[in-house]
Amino acid sequence: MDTMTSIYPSLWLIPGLPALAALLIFIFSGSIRPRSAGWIATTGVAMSFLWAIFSFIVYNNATSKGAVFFHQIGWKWLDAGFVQANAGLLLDRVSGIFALVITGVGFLIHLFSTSYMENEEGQRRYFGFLSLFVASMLILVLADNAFFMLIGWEGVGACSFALIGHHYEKRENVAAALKAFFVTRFGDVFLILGVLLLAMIGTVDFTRLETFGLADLNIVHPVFNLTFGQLLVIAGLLLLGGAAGKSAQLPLQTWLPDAMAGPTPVSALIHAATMVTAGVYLIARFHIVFALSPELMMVVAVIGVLTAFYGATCAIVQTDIKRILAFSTISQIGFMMLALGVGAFSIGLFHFFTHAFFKALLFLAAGSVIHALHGEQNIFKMGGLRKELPGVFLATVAGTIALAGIPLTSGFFSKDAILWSALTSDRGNILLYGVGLTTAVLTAIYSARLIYVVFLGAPRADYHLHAPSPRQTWPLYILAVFALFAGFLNVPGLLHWEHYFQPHFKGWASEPSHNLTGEIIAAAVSAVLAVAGWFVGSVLFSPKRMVEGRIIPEPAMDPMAIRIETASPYRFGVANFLYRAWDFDHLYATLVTRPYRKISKVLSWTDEYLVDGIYEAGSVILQLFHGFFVTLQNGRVGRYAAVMLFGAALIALLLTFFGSGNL
Amino acid sequence: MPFAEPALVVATILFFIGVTGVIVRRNLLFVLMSMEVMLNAAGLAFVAGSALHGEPDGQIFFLFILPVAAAEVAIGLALAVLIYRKFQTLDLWSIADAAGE
Repeated sequence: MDTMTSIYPSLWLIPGLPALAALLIFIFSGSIRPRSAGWIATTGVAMSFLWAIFSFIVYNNATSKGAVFFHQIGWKWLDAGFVQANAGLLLDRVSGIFALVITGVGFLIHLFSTSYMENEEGQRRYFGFLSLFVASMLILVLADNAFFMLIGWEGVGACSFALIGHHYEKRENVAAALKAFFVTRFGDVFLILGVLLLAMIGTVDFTRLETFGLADLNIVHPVFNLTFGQLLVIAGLLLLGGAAGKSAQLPLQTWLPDAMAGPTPVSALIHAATMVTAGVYLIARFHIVFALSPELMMVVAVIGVLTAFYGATCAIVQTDIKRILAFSTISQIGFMMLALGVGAFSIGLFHFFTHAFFKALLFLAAGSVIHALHGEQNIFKMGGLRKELPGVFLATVAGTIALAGIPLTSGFFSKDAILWSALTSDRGNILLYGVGLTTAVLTAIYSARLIYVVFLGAPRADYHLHAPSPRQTWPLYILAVFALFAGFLNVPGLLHWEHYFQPHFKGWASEPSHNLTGEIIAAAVSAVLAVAGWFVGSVLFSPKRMVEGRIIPEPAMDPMAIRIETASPYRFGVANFLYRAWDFDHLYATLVTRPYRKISKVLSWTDEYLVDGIYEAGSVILQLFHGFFVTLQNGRVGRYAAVMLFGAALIALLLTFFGSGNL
Repeated sequence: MPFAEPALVVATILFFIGVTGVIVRRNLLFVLMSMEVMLNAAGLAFVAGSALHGEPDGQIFFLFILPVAAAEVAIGLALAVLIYRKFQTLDLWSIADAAGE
């Protein structure tokens, strides 16, 4: 392990190169051309990607000789009681996969952005923050302890705020950026408390998390008067709060659909590589803490499966192409949480891996469509784009069939593995499996809807297409290849993903059953249901029905024209309820935002009249004194004389009546 | 001496006339004149006092006061001329306001 220090490739280059690119862009933003900013950022991430590949290969060679992880300590960073942290980086199987996806997908998104943002305002700011975003996420996954990880965690939050609000001239965009920031911050508070609690009762050094597994869970902690096991559950719940905020899980998912206000490549980056997968990483990283408590694992699984179902139901009625994808991300992250919650950690990471490709692909394709249509996002104003944008169409088909889990695509392999684990691992049960399977069907339906409404049928608007440049289409093709074939990384005997993670999760993972017939039957069930879902979607949203305007397919009125909180574009109450994302925004506005505004009004009144009143009274008294002394010094000679006279008279009087006799 | 006590009363009245003039007048010349009145009221009081007591001290003192008053008038008038040159007015209030700015 540590004996190999001398031959490590320096891990600092992985987050360092994008950070350097961001720094260069910000420092020289006054003197470089906007186009150059894009190339600096893209080069930085590309080099970081190459270096990550190199480091990962060296690491994998070393693992065959017995190394468990690469660990590089930069310097002692925090030294305050139980808060002990190095600024150090750690490369192991989990952080390696994350770093590869972040830099690889991040690079393609950067490349796409150089074309997408070509004629936009604020390119230098955009690319600076984009690179910083990638660098923060790399710090997050490569940090060797939770305190250093928090730096990346907060950096991701700050960069997402800046990028979602990139077009800050529009008020809604600023509101969306603030919403994303506040909601994730709300989760971050729990995360910080959880990290502090873990640091207090054990360690948050990622190389020593194993010690939690050795501790006696029944020892009563002297400070908290709770057993160690109970404290771990509390810490796990706090961590889960942070993960739910960042990964947009119930009940903190409301920010993600609104985060669509940012430029589309930013959404791709947020959804595929950076930001929302941080919660998945967090739980995978602290898997020991979670695995020690079955209840905690059940909470994770239930939140995951409910979020998956929630996201899929909302996605099915959305009309904005980006909101469809946003809800599908919420749903797919829910699947990852489900996998983590039933103890199939490596499968959760596998779904993260495949999802990164097809979701980045779908967002970039959506970006190409929006770009080609000069900013149109309503799918009911598209249609018939298959002939106009054939490359984008093929790439989107690849992405949607992977999302739907059509057999042999990457999404099929990962989702089927999750469902199988939910059914047969000793933490899973039939209920989780049932809801998961229903969600998979819904996923197939809305995937089909996306393709049929956007690309097939006749055009429903006059297009003046703006053809995508090669820098937009090539990233799509590359991602499409991965979206279709990345699933083969988890085929036993070939490249076995689960086997690769075996040493990392060791005994903590719950093994699903290895009954081969059962597995094949379950896979067949998922495959049939996915295809059936796709078929249902294709019938419901077939171009013919679109023309006739029957059942739910088309909203009765233009949804963009209505305020989202009370929007009801459909003729059916249920569809409207789903369209408003189960009225969560309304609920939070009633429970939190409006009471908060009322309280702040009262407080502002107190501040204005009570607190300010005290200080203003003080100043009034001082002004009175001031006025008195000013009149004594106003330069009116006559008044001086009068004062002298009366003073002298007073002295004379005093001397006359109280004087010591003979004057 | 039969005139001494009425003379003291007159001196008092004169003195307060002078004081009032100094306090309320806005023009520097009138203030100077009021000061002269006060000075002369004091002189009258000295003389009356010396008559009342039958001693010459008060009268001698008045002889000293006279040149002091003359010198004071010279300086006062010179000041008035200079102030007028500088401010183009002898109004004490507006001079004070101008100097205060």
